[in-house]
Amino acid sequence: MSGLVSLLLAVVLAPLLQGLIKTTKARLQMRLGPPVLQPYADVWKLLRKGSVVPETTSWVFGAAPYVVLGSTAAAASLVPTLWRGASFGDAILFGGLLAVGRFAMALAALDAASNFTHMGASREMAISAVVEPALVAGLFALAVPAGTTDFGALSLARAGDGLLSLGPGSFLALAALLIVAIAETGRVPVDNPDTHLELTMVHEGMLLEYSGRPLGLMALAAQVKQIAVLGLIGALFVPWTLGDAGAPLWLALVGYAAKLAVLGCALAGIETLNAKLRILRVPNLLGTAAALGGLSLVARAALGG
Amino acid sequence: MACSYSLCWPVAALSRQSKFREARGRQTRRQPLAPAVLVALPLAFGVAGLAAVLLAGRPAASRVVAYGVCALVGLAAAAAALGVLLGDGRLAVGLFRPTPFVTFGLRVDPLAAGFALALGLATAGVSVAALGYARHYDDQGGPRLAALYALFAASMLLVLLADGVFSFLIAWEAMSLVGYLLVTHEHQLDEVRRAGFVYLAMAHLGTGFIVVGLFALVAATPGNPLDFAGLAAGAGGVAGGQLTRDLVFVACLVGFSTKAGAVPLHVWLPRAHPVAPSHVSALMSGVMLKTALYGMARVAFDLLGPASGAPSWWGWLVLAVGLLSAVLGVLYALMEHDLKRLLAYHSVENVGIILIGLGAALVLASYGLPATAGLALAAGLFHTVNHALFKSLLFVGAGAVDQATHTRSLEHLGGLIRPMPQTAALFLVGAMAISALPPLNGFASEWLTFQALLGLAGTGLPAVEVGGLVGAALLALTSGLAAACFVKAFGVTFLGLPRSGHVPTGESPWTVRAGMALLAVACAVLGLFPGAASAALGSAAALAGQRSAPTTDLGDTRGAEMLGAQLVDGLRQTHVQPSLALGVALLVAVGAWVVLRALGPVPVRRGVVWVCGFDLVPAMQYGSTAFAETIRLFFRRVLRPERHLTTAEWALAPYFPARLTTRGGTPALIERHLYTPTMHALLRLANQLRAVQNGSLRYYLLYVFGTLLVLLVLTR
Repeated sequence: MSGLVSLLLAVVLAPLLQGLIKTTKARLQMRLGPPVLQPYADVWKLLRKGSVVPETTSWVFGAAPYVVLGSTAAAASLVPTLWRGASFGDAILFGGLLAVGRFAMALAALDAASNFTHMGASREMAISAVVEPALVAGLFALAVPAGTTDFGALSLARAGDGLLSLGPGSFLALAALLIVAIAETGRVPVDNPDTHLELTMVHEGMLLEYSGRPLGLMALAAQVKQIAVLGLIGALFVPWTLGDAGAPLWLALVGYAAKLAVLGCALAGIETLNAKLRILRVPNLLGTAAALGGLSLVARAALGG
Repeated sequence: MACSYSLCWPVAALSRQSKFREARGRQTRRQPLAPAVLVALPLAFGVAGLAAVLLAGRPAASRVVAYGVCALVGLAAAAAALGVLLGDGRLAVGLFRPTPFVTFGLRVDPLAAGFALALGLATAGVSVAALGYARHYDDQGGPRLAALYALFAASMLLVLLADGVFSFLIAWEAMSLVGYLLVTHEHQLDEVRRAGFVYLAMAHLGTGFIVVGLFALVAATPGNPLDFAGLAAGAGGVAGGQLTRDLVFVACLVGFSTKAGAVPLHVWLPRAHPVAPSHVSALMSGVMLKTALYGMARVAFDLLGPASGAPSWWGWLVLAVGLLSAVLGVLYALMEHDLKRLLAYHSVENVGIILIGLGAALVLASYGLPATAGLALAAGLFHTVNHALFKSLLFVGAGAVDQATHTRSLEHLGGLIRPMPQTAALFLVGAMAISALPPLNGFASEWLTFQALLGLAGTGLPAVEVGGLVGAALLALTSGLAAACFVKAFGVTFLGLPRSGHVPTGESPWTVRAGMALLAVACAVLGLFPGAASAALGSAAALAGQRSAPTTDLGDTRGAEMLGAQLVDGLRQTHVQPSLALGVALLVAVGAWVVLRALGPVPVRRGVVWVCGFDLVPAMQYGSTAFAETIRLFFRRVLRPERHLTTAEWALAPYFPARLTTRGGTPALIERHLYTPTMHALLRLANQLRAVQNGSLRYYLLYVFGTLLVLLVLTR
């Protein structure tokens, strides 16, 4: 039940979060920017448009958008949003489902036989390979004290710890997971979601041969992934607004929205303040994130919290 | 030592025999069938081999009968092993006793059954595929190949069932030698003979260490028992104490790691697997490597006494070897562009993952956490079964590609999904399983391995916690790189446009697809119901949780059984639900499809790929090397890729080259820096020994005389 609520909230609110980030970024850069609701219009328009499919492709290219959307939405359903409910949201499964989406997208890119999509796939798989250890290190830094990789149990254990879960160890883990969130959502400094220069794009590069309805599905899936990752960070680090932690439903809803808004604005700020990294320096950034996860455990042992 | 054998043998043998009979009597009442069937099956494989030889005049009939029987025997082995695991049946059979202290016997216990399950499932699938795949060997010694294949399966099963040091070593050596004959089946080729030599040399290096380790253990154990139960019971009173146990452990670790292909002893693996016929590589990679892991588990958890008495550095050492093998194995796999070599390096990676499970189990047991240790061993065993399945599937798929296109080089493949759609789909299942993607079985066992590493936190020691986190991060890196590698392997082979004239005319034989389908279904079932699968292995994993209290009665396994029951319950509770996630994903995907259909159809047009306005040519696509370029650069400090400018013609030196030729690649650093210097040193030593071994009879007589003198002086 809570899974379905998480799923619906993620799918319905994902374009709104995207619009919020774009608008914030535009304002920070002294631009007017598109309306906040523009991503809804974009997805809606794409879903009703015809598409051009490369002659070289097989069924993999056609099936990939559905696999990507399905697996990403399933990942979103694992994230505790309003309350924990039935417990089946596992951290490793979350990572695995995101990996399924990435795998399908990279295969679709290879199916298109274009050097640009191939370049995107090569880079995406390379980056994701170094994102995985950072993600697991960040999650393990939280899971080790709680003794579980179940998101629901994890966030409740953290809520039960009270202010202890705001100790330095927690902040190091938060920093690790924020870096991972930037990489997972394909944002500056790892990737640039706004570029249309073939040589610099990663995620967009893989989608270069998609158009119309399948592109709309891919775009929606990317937004769902973004809201799921940010929602997860919110649930793990500010768990007190969850229903099981004693908050009423309205507070749970407001808390969820507020956490997403704050994290979204943070992403927009980071994107404005930083330039895209040269791709060969991306592993350093993610290696730092993994090291922060390890340091978080050390800090917890040394300082408590 | 020899005199102590003869003195205490009669008593020890008598007591052992009575214990055998006791154990046998009690167990036969409870579970008569499954273990008895399992013990008989090596003979059944032998019958398949014999049939292949008898029908040698008619190669096609020989092939169908031999592989058909092997498939059935494989299924029977899997069923019997499952019966043993679920019923916890044990059995010991003494076969014969040629000299007073040499006994040959077979024994079935849950640990052996866990590995026999992997053997049975993989052999069944691979043998079905071999029915069609081996057709092109019909006129190239097909019957010999089929007979050796059946013998290979028989010897591997014997290794798992052997009771006692002699039986084990003889089965082990038989397996190695039959393996050599299989690897060198196409011995007309230079490459094959060289690979065979490396295989044989490394196999015997490993066997040497195992012989030393096991016989040292026998010599140090009071009463010098040769059967496993006697060794395990006497482990507490080993002469020399902990130092002996440490030395035995290290010797066995080195020996078994050589066979398992753990870094840095993996060098034979990427040579031997590609040159063997594909159904043989499937069995070698899927099953033979696992017999080494079985040996390691047998020694570490059973023969050296309960793992709770082991020092924790044993576990850390195994864990470190596992992590090193996992990361380096997958990195070198990414750099490969020979499909079968790539798969061979992935075996190194997966052996590493299994070793992570075993190592974590040893560490946890040594810190006094038996239940979590059992979970870690269950993770290792589960991954053993899973790897046997998906690696066999992938090797059979690679064989089908090789057979259809006559090349294994990824740089020459592409677009095979059009002529071979079903082979491609089945290969994709294997690729997703090995990349640890839910809801397939690779994910389930890696999930369990992550839980085992999380379990290290149960010790409450910060250093151990951080060790667990580092292990988990490296395991995650491994699975991320594996996903990249299989995007490459599947995408470059089956998707896009053909990169050369190596284009197949049609699908692979239906039996090949049927064998692959069998393995793929098994991958999916084990992935969707991981709780049941790992709980079935729980009784085998209970071995890791044995207490170090001295067990006097060998037949008494009740303590372990109780722990097994606890562990099974624990594994059922600690579960993840990939099936539910699959349900949600399907719901969303189908829902999206239905909603979009309701929105109305949209025009779909076929168009050309956009490549900056040029005409698309296949050479524009990324090949295998290009795809891995980003990762090669990310890990350049580890891999040290090389590029040498071989020729250059300048239009205007040094700024405008007219034509440049470069050669490059990723050198095998371990071979260059470890094996080559060792080889040279050995050769130099051999050269100097030639002064002694000079071929003159007079000198040899002198040596004999000298040796006699020395012996006489020494023994007095």
